[in-house]
Formats: sequence, structure tokens, C-alpha cells
Amino acid sequence: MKPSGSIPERYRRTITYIAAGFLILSVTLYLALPIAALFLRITPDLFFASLSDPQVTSALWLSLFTAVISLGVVILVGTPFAYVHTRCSYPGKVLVDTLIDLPLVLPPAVAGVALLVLYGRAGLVGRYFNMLGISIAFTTLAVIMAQIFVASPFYLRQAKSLFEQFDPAYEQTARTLGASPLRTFLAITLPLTAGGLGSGAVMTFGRALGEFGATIMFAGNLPGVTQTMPLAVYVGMESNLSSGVTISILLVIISFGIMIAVRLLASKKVQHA
Amino acid sequence: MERLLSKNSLILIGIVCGLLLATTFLAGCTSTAPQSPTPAATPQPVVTTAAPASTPAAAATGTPKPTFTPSQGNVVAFTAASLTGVSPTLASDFEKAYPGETVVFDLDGTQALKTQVENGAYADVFISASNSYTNALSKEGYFVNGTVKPLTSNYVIVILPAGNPRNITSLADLADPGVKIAMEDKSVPAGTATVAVLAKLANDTYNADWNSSVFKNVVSYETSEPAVATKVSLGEVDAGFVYESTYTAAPKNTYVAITIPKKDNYLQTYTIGVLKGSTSTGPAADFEKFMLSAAGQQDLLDFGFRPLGTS
Amino acid sequence: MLEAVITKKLRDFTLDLSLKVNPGEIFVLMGTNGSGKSTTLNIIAGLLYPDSGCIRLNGTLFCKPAGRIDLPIEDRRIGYVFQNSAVFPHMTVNENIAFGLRARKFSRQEIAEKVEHLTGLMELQDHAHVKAGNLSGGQKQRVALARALAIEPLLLMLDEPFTALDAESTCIVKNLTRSVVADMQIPCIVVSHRVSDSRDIGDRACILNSGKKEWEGKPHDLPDELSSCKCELCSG
Repeated sequence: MKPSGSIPERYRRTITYIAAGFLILSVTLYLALPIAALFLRITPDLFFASLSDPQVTSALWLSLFTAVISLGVVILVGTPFAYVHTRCSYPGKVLVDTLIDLPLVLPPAVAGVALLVLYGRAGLVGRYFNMLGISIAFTTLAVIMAQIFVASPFYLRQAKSLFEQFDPAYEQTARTLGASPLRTFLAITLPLTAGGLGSGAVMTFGRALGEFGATIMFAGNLPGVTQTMPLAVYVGMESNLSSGVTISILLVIISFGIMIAVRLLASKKVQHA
Repeated sequence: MERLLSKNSLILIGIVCGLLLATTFLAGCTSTAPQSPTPAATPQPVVTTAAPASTPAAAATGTPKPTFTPSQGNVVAFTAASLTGVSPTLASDFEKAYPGETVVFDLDGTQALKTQVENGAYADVFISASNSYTNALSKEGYFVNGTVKPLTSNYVIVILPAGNPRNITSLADLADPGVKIAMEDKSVPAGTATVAVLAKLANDTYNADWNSSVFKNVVSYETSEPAVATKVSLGEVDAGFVYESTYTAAPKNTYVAITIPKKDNYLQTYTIGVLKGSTSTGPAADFEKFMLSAAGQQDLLDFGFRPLGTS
Repeated sequence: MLEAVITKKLRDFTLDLSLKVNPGEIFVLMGTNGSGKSTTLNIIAGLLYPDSGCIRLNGTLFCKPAGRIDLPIEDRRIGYVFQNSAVFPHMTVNENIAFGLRARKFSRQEIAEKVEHLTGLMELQDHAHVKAGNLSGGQKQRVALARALAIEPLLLMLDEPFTALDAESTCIVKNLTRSVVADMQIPCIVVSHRVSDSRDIGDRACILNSGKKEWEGKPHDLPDELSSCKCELCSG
């Protein structure tokens, strides 16, 4: 690098802008070109024709259905859990903290194997369910369980962080005014953390929608029952390229929608007193 | 912007990042495509432990690592997943026969490997479990002329978990309500083989109702043949359709088998060929020679494959 | 009347003091940051638990570790205005003030009357339906005060109520505090680090240093004691 004094001022400014522009362009293209290639690989006619392919529509419906239910469970169970976890100290809290993050670092296929050997009909717990006539593996329920397992850390970490950083003055004020802990949580904490929780939920939904490894191991691959969109892409790419590309494009569109939703929710500023 | 970073720092960062990205692009163009998402059931590539000193590239890295980039004396073999069990034996026997040369197996469903090759993945040799995929690649001009040869063959068999908990004694029982069956997806060669077998059985011995009942009992269409075997061995399904080689090569008592009569069975023919994109054509040809030689063929037979020329 | 004897081991020192505040009296608790002032208020409110001591309000026992007595926060009927007011930003002024009443299950009619009375008292009628997050610092402080008074507290506590306010708002809030405390005849503790605050509204004051009372007396006696103190209080 030449010492700063030797490059004339006007050239330095231009070089700075060019360098910055190059940087932004490189990153943008690296991320955008593969997506663009997907869109360019198929014609609108083929795209819409594939949309009426029953395998495509059943995968689409199944994916959305299971992801919505998974998200619902994660929010309904995860929100009070995260709140209690941050507000109380209990034995083993550090261990639980680590466990929440575990699915994030575990390869999804490993998660699938783990779920299978636990809940499969020959599994530690599954064998008792099997005796009652309830099968878990290879069902839509298994798809939902796999999605919840891999996607819940996204929501739980976000909720934990929000509740931890939530100004305690609000809850303390509410308590001194006479509100019970439950009323405090519902009337004060939740509304003021809703924006952040919302973006956590959206990320969870996206992860659940894209889940592949654990699903194929634990739930299997059966059209209409367990064949979600990612599975349909993988299987479809060989036999029917246009349906594979169509599903990929659908996933891209949904993911984009999710990203935009995250942006909008995150920009809603949390109000301060 | 000028307040946060000095202009010189920004220029430097821009140049470094640009170089990094450019390097990434270049590396991406010359090396193989990354592996498609493979579930845990699909085996990992086999690493060979040949003498590293004889190959400059391997010597430079020290410990041999699985690599799908071209390097002197190394053969990258895209191989149908049903050869997973026999691949370590093939690797060590190949190196004994051709000292200084190594082979790395990329094992996956033939359909996945075909897609990768068509999209620019690097391989020296392609071992396919399906004639139709081989023909497609041939037509598209991926093979070196004259190198496509039949390699071995395999029949389909039904396997049950050890102990046969569902007490399935014949193929007819597969249609019983509540039986859980796993088979490969139709995009996998073993899957098309299975579908053909079931059609033949329905035609000759059983009827169309039996055929549709069996399909109703399928709980999962796996994306590779070993994945079906895994589900059976875990006891999660009552029966699975796999290749005979998988059953034969497994340790005793892993599975219980129900054979399918030859007249109704589907003989899957495997082919081997050298790919035009190969830069290790010498070792690639040596590997094909080895696979077709008595030594290679014996390895395959030991692991349950059928010799060529089986009727 | 509030009688509090508190001992609590904190990170750097042990909090050890006793307080007595009469009805209608404003007691100013002074000291540097970290001397234990806010902790004292939190203990009286029930947000923290002391190691030993006894807290009694109008004869009712709030807390006695020795006897394992600990009245829940909701039942203590203390009006507590936090530093930076802590108004609920997503609720309107009226909803903020009504919050404590709704928690205590007052009827709609009663709530409406009280809210109207308090918004009038605090001169917030024009902002009744404004979201509290959009108010100025002084307005927020008045909302917080109204909210605390709505539940008809038996004790009023204000933690650094004037720090974030401009001179005019400070004046307004001080006058309101004085008149409200005089009308309701309840004890009141105000935490502040400014000598001027204690002289404006305080009837009695004390200085806390590392958890111990260093001085107690009438506010106008303060300037004379200032130089002998080791703490940095701002004058003016």
C-alpha cells in the first residue's frame, strides 16, 4: 500500500467507491446468480404445468401444513418455556441451556437417526406406543416431530434473548401495581417482545419448511404422507426435472417472502419508556 | 463511510475480498461439484491408504484425505451405492495390483451421481446400477468410446429384520394388511428393478390385487438402496426390497431373506466406464481393467454379486 | 408510618440501615451510585429479599426473614415510580393509569372515574389517548406518578424521578408530589443524588454510603455536612 499522501485526493475517492461497489456486487451476484439460474432453467409454461402435477401440489400442501403445525407447537410451548427458563433459576439450568442449542450443531441426519431409534416402533419409547397400536415413524406426525426438533432452537434462542434483555423495570412496575406474574407476562412482556418473537417464529418456519435430513431418516419418503417439498425436489430432480425445478422455485419464493417478513418485523422498533 | 474506516483500509478490504471471491469462483469451476444432500444412510466415500510418497499431491498434504479433485495416480469412482460393502476390499486389492495408484469411491444412488456428472462434477470412472442411466450418459457423450463394459449383476431379494417379528413366510404375506414395507424410489435403479419384479410376480403367480396391496403397504420410498437395508435392520419396517449382494455381504443373522424365483426376478446389470472428463486416464483404465479382472470379479462375488453371464 | 430495618449482603458491601417515615412526610434518600439506594426501595417493595430485619407499614408486617414472613409484591399496595418512569409504551395514558386498577379488579365505572380524576390532576387530559411511548420525559413521569397513585397506595416511592427531566417539568412534578403526599397523608421516600431536590421537597433526608447511613437530618442542614462527606453529591 502506498502511503496515503502520495495518492491524489480525487483519485482516492473514486478508488474507494469502485472498491466498495465491487465488493457489494461480488457478494450480491454470488448469492443471487444461483437463484436466477433456477428461474432461467424453466419456462413459465412448464412451471404452471408442473404446478398442476399432483406430486408437486401434494408436496406443497404437506410442507405448508406440517410447517405451520410445527411452528404452532414451538410457539405455544416454547414461549412460556423460554420465559420460565429466563426468570427462574433451577438446578440443571446450564444443561438445559446447552440442550436448546444442540439441534443447531447436530447434522439433521443424525437428528433423524436419533428420533428413529427413540420413537420408531423398535425404539426405546416407540415400542410402547407400538404396543398401543400407535405408530410414529413414517407418519406425518414424524415429519412434524422432525421439524420441531431441528427448528425449535431458532425460536427458543430468540425468545430467551428477548426475555433476558427485557427491561426488568416494566415487569417490576406491573407487579407493584398489583398484577400477577401471569397478567404481567401477557399484558406487558408479550406485547413488547412480540416483534422480536415474530421474527424468531418466521425463521423457525423457514427452517421447518426446508428440513430434509431428519425427515427422510425418521419419517421416510411417501408421497402425500411424508414427502415434503425438499424431499420431492431431491427425488424429482432425476425423473422429472421440471417438477424438481418448479418445487425449488416455489421454495425460493416462500423463503424470499419469509426474509421480507423478517425485515419488516425487525424494523418495528421496540418502544422505550 | 469515510468516518468509520480510513479510505486506504476500505480499498485494501475491497481488494482482498474481491480476490477471495475470484479464487472461490475459479476453484469452483475447476473442481468437482459439491455432493448432493445425502442422508446418513448413504455411506461416506472410502479413503484409501496407499503409499503417499509416490504421488506428489498426496505427499504435499501428508495424511490422505477423501478428495474429488483430480490428482496424479488417484481414481475418483462415482459408484452405485449398492457397492458400499465391497468398496473397501476393492480399494485395497486395486492398490495391491497397481502400486502407486489409489481409488476413492463416491457412493450414492446412481440417479444422483448421474445428475452430478451432467452438471459438471469431476469423476474418472462411473459405475452404474442401471443400463438406462448408462445409456443416457453414453448418448450425452460423457464416456470415453469403447470403455463402457458390463461389470456385474445383481438380483432383487426381500429381506426381513432378524427374528422376523411379523412372521412373514412367503411373498404372499407381503400383501397382508398392516405389513410395513420399504423400497427404493423409482428414480433409484433398485427401485425400478423392484417395480418390475412386483409386476412380474403379479402376472405369473399372484394377481393385480396382490400388487396393489403390496404398494399400499409401502411406508417409504428411500433414495438409495442401503437406506432400505438400514430401515429393515433397525426393525422399523417388516420387509424391504434390496439387492442380493446386500443380503449376502451382511453379517450372518442380520436379516432373514425371502428369495424371489428367478423367472420373476429382475437381473440388474452394472456397467463401468471411463468418463471423458477424466485427467487420470491411465489409472482410470487400470481401475477398469482391475474391476473386470479375476481379482476384481472375485471380490464382487464374495460380496454377493452375480457373475456376468448369469441367466 | 413506614418502619424498616434492613440488612442485606451485597456484592461489594453490606446494606445495613433503618428508616422511619411518617405519614405525609417526604424522606429523601441520598448517596452516590451504587450506595444501595435503589436496592433499599426494591427490598421495601418486595422485589428483593433482605437477609434479616423487619419492614412494617402502618403496623402491617411486610417482611421478616426471621419469621419467614414475606408479603407478596401485589399485596403491599406500594406506589413505586421507577427511574425513567417505565410507562408501558404500547398502552395509552389512560390504559397505563388504569393498569393497576384493572389488575385489582375494580369496576369499569370506578376505573373511569379514577382515571379521569388523575389525568386532570396531572394535567394530562389532552394526551389521554396517546400511546405513552410517544410522550416527552416530563409527561411520562407524570403518567408514572398517576399510575402509582391510582391504586391508592399506602406508601409512595420515587427513584431518581427528576434526573431525566428539564427544569420546568422537574418543578411541576415536585409540586405534584408535595401536594399529593400532603393530601393523602402517606409516607413517601424519594431517592435522589441532588442536594437541590432534597431541599425542595424533602422533610427529612439521609446520606447512604456503601450501604450505611452516614448522616441523617433536615435537608437545609445538608450543605454544611457536604464537605465532611466522602461522597460526590452535586449541588445546585
